[in-house]
Amino acid sequence: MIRCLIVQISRNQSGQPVRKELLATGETIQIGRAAGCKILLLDHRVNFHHAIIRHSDEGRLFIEAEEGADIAINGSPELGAELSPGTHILVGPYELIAETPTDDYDLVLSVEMVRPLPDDHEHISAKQAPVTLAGAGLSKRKPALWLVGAIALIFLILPMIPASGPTLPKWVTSLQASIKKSWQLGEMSRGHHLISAKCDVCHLKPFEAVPDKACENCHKTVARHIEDKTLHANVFKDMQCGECHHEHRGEIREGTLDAQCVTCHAKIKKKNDKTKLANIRDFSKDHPAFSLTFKTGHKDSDVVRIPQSDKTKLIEKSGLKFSHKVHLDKEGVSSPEGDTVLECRDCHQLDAAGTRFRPISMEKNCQQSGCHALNFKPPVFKRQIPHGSERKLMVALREYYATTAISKVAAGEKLQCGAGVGVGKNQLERALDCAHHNAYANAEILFKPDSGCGECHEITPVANDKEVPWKVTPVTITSHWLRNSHFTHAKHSTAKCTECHDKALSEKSSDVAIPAIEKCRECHVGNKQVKNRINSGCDNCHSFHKQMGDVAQHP
Amino acid sequence: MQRGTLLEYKNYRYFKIASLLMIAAVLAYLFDQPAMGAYGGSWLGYMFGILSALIVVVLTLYGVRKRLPSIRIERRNLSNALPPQQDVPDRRKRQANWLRHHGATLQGWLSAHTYLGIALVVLATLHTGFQFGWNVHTLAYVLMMVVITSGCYGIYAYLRLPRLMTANMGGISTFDALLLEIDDLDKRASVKSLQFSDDICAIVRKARQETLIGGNFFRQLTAYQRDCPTAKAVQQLQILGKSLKYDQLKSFDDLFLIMAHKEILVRRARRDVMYRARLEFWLYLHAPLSIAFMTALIAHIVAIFFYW
Repeated sequence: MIRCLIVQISRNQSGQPVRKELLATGETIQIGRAAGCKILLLDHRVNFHHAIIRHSDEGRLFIEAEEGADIAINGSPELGAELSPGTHILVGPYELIAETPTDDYDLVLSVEMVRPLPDDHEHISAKQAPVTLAGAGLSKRKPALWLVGAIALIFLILPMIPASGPTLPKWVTSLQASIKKSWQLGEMSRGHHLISAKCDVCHLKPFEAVPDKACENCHKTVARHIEDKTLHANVFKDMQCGECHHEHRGEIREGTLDAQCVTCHAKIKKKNDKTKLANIRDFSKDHPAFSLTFKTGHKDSDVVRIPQSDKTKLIEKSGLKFSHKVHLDKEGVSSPEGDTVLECRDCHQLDAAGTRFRPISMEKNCQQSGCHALNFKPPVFKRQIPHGSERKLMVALREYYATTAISKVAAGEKLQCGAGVGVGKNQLERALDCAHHNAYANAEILFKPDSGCGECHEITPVANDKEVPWKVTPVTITSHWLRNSHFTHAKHSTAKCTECHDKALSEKSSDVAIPAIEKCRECHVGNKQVKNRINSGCDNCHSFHKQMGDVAQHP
Repeated sequence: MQRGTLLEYKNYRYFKIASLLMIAAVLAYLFDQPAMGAYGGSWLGYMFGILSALIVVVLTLYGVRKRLPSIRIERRNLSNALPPQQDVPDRRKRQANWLRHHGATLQGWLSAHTYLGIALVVLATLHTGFQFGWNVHTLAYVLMMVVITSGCYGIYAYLRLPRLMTANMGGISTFDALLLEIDDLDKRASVKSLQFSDDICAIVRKARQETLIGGNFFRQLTAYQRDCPTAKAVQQLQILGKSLKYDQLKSFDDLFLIMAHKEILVRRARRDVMYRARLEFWLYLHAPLSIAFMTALIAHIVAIFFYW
């Protein structure tokens, strides 16, 4: 039999313990919340049957946990322990302390609720998980500060540090170069990719627009748009390169677009009432008829421009008589090698750039395969009449007849001259007169308007020149018809020559066979996309900055 | 927050202003044919840029304006050594008084903030000329778009969620009151459970100790606890109740009803947390990103004029 004094301890308002004693007796003392328990602990954290106190064989008192229940002895979990005085046992939220037994009791056990359930608002809130985002650790200020710091450092401060500081290590400058690219509005234009990370090549001073000087440091030979210096200055005033050349707009050709040209040329007449240029917006819509440049002399400036719309004036005065029809006869043209069928390229050969053609020359083109050989008539086959100078021709004729006459005199043969030539002179003087006479007589035949030289050239008599009284009109063949544009024949090699140049039936060299704009428009359109047509901007044919040596503009 | 006072403020004053701005901007964009194509550096592009920057300043001023009265009142509270939580009605009263004496109402500012923010999408997009890249300029644009998108969600949340919150609370005045009621049910369930087996007692104890309301960011937003002990307790009690003796059934019914009631209240509490989180979380994007956007905007402007 165990006699146990249970001392129930509660706390008053000032926290002082209040003791209430109860007696419990039995073979064993059961602890739990079941109705039959001697030590009744009414809390849901205590098991139905939580622990039991019993005698050991030696008569000592022990406490044992029931199956599935947990107790702690002096702070550590145990299955059971001897109830010696001072032993602390934790049963659920209750603390049981074995006190020193008196003579009347085997065991004195104080029982106190040490972990009461929270029942006020503060405890409930403390028990809860966070119910606000701020409570869950989210912050507005921290990420804001981090983001501001990072963006300001990477995108504001680092790009502003001068790149060419001597003290900066190489990796810093290379990192800086990559970061600086983040300031660029877009890809660099073609041609400037190499300096895309070297901002200060163009941007000489911070917060100042790129000066023309920066461009001219590299582009030293860029010519004006208008040849006339005063007009150029009046039109462009203080306009800077950067206003047309936008270098950070990606793959725009040299940073410009057609629309740049159109801003002026759409209303060019309004801008300059003296101009002869037409207002133009688009190649397809309002580009005027081409103006052909006719060569009038041998100097570059000896030219006249005639619009193709003025058809009656489109006559080439080359000084040459030439029939394309005869030379391009399908049956062939007679030559020392027999009838030969000629093609355009037999005479017109592309220059090295593939843009225009090599100049036509007598030697290379007309005398090829022995055609148009300028031989003396039999029996002097081996000699050729010189080509290109009337005076040289006369000298050659005189030299030939003089040699013939002198050799006849030496051989004692009779001179063949006209009647009355060299009468009353000695033999040598007669021979020379005879030679002069024969040379002039032959020259007269050669310089006839429709035969000899006159077969190909225009011949005019010269009254006041007794030595050479004929003049061959100088040949001025126009080789660059559209001087204010660039056209590459090589790029059009898929087409036959006659598709554009209607020369096959031309009998006169004065015929002009440069195709009109309508022919170009069969393939090319302006900036508006058209199916199966090629978009062509202004700069497909024209250059804004004329290259040095280009022909003068003809406004 | 009422729909009428925010979106319809002063007979749609800011809606009209913003609409006019947007229409004028789109028309100007369509009619303008800059020589180099549309981009931020054309004449019109600069105009769009300047206008957008001014709008950004106005939008930022709302943030300042919103914080201004509370900053002043908090300072006053500090000087009076009173914790701000203790005089909520008083604080509101003072705030209202302050507003009455300092020009436009906060709702007016918010109305302008909303509509001008939406107009900024159009203006800034036209300012870009639809040209984007991996650079600070596009960074500023992207940040701006995220800020405005989060702001649009915020307006949606302000207009829609408060009603759902009121409906959800079902007459219970505050969240704390709801928690106290849940706690009360917990206690009653604990007392009731004492007479039952350890199994039932453990279920009830677990439901009391491990049921979570709120939690981390995702739990707050989703109002969900995996294997919620309360929901589980209700399910398990249904099963365990079948094996009880007849004389225990009356008490068990009481326990079951308490737990079922608790489950409803726990769901409500979680939903309340969820609504509040949804009402708030966009601000954790909106506010820091707007500051980040301002920094990127300054970098954008400096970059443009530094390398003009």
